Amino acid sequence: MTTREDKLRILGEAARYDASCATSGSSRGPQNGMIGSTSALGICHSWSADGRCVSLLKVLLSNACLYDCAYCMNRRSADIPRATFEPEELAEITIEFYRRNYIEGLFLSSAVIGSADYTTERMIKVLQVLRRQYRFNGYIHVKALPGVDPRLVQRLGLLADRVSVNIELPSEPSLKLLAPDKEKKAIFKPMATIRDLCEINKEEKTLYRHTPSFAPAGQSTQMIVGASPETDRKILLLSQELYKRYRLKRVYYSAYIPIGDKQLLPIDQPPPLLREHRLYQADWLVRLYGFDAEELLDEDVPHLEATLDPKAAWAVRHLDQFPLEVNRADLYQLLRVPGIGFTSARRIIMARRSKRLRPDDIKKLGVSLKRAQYFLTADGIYMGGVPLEDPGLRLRLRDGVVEPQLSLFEEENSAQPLFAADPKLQLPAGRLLLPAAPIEP
Amino acid sequence: MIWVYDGSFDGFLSTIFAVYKARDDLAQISRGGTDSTVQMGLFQEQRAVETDSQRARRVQNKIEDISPHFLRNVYSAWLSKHEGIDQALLSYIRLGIHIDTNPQDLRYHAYVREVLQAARDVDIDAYHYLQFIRFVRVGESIYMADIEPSYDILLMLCGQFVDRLAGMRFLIRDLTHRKTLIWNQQEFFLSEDPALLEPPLPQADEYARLWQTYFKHIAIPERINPTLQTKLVPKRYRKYMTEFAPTQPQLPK
Repeated sequence: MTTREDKLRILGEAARYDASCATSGSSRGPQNGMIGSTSALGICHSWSADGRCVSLLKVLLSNACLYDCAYCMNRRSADIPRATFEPEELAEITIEFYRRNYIEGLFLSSAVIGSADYTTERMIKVLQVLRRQYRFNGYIHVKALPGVDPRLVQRLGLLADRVSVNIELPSEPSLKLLAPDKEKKAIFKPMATIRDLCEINKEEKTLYRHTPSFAPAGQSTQMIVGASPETDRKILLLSQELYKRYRLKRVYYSAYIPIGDKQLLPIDQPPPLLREHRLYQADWLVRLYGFDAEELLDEDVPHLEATLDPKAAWAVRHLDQFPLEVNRADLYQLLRVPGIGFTSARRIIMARRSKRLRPDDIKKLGVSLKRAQYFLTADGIYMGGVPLEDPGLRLRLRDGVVEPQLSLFEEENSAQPLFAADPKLQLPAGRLLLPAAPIEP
Repeated sequence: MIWVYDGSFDGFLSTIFAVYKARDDLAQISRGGTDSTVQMGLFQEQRAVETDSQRARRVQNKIEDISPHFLRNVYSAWLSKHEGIDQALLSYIRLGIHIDTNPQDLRYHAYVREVLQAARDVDIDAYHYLQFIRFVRVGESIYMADIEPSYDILLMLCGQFVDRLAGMRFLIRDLTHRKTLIWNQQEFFLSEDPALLEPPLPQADEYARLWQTYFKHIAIPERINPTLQTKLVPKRYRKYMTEFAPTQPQLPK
């Protein structure tokens, strides 16, 4: 007899490879007679040992899957303990966790038991018990299973804040190879349904005051990185297309952890965590900073660089656009400077309404100049101190994220007289194999 | 002229009112009240400010009308009790009223930086508690939580939890400032009764163990990163967090 605790252990572990944890995008104040609220910015209640945010109770309703997707720990052919929640028992655990401020709400997905429609009906039951019996007003993110009936998608959206489908693999050939049970059509049709119903809901809300909300936090999706051979370029172009076509709020990238079928999937490389990190950085640039995916990665540069973040990599390849004059550049130009994000850009723009900014003012504004200094002039004064050219600049901008395996010999040759120019130059933080003292040329 | 007030926020706002009314450009503010050390200057004239809630509301509304963030910055920074913060706040408020905007982006003024840093320290403490407070069920439907904040943020938490957990009776005990927030499903109270603070927080709660089990198993082993976790959940908050407490015994059914 599996106890409640066993089920929570098994089904929590089974759901952990879904990266989505956002609780933002939906803002509901307290409602009379209901327990809970959502906050527009989202709240992380804890962080697990792997450094990931814990804001929702993230579980599968069941892990006894009918399908046999090669990358998934719950695939039919895997030899693992299986469990299934009763809808009432899961709803009760959720509400009690919520009362204790452990979570903001529920993230519910499931393996396919019987059929996608049957499984979805069970998931709907959980949501109904939560919303109606326990009067739960907090956040719910529910997954729509590929191939599910559109009418069930509608019911999901009326109960949840976010409804989403995972595309899992970035190309159709990979999908056919690794997840033959999930057809491409079966994945994209629910995504289109969610998009259309959200659109209709928005219109109806302007016409009828009491229209119930449909998925107010929209939809997102997830791709596994490193389980299949697509380039970063292919992935980023796909994300850009998905944002445009399905109006997704987020695309999540999940580094492949070797828990899958050893025949079909690479087992001898460590999880590509750095690659996943770079993809998130590139995703941010496309989604929020006004970059086009083609600017960051094209046919000649199909992969993101390991040692440089995507924005710095772009800047180094387009030095003709710099330096920018801080008193004249517009918001999106400023945002392209490595080290300047929305906060710094906003401060610069606000401050320059009162005075003409000089280098000291920029420092006082709290703009991080360690990298930005090479790309800016303030009132005509160049803040970088060194000429804008590639090899030297690239070294200065390098991330501390990675441990580059450089030999001292290579460093000596590729660096211009780095330290002869300015002995006080800061080295990028991180574990570089450079001597502590300046090198005399 | 040194203006001394009673240490309350309304007192502070009344002082701002008084300073403006007297058109005192060289005003210095001194925070009085039970836990302050007011220097009795020999050569400077001192004046005690009477706390007037009507005047306080007028000042508050004026600031809030300019921007709610402006008021929030002022309140949070004031709560910090940092050395000299009242003085910096006076300049901050004057500047904001003068330009009719929240001056939070004008960081080339030292007092703006000072106010924003203080506000940030307080807001971050409050936000951490929003995230990390853990309730334990102690009675039939009474839930209790303990916190040890660096700043006096109990009132800030009040709004969030009264809204969210309106259907539950709960207590939040601030052990640093010796106060308790009580919500009885009708109204909330702030009590300084020491008797409330005495009983220790009970450990066993059937859902605490479930949470611990869940929490342990959601970390992906290949991605374990204790440094990151320490940075995100500082050690000092972990004292009252269920998932970082020793494992609960399994309760009999």
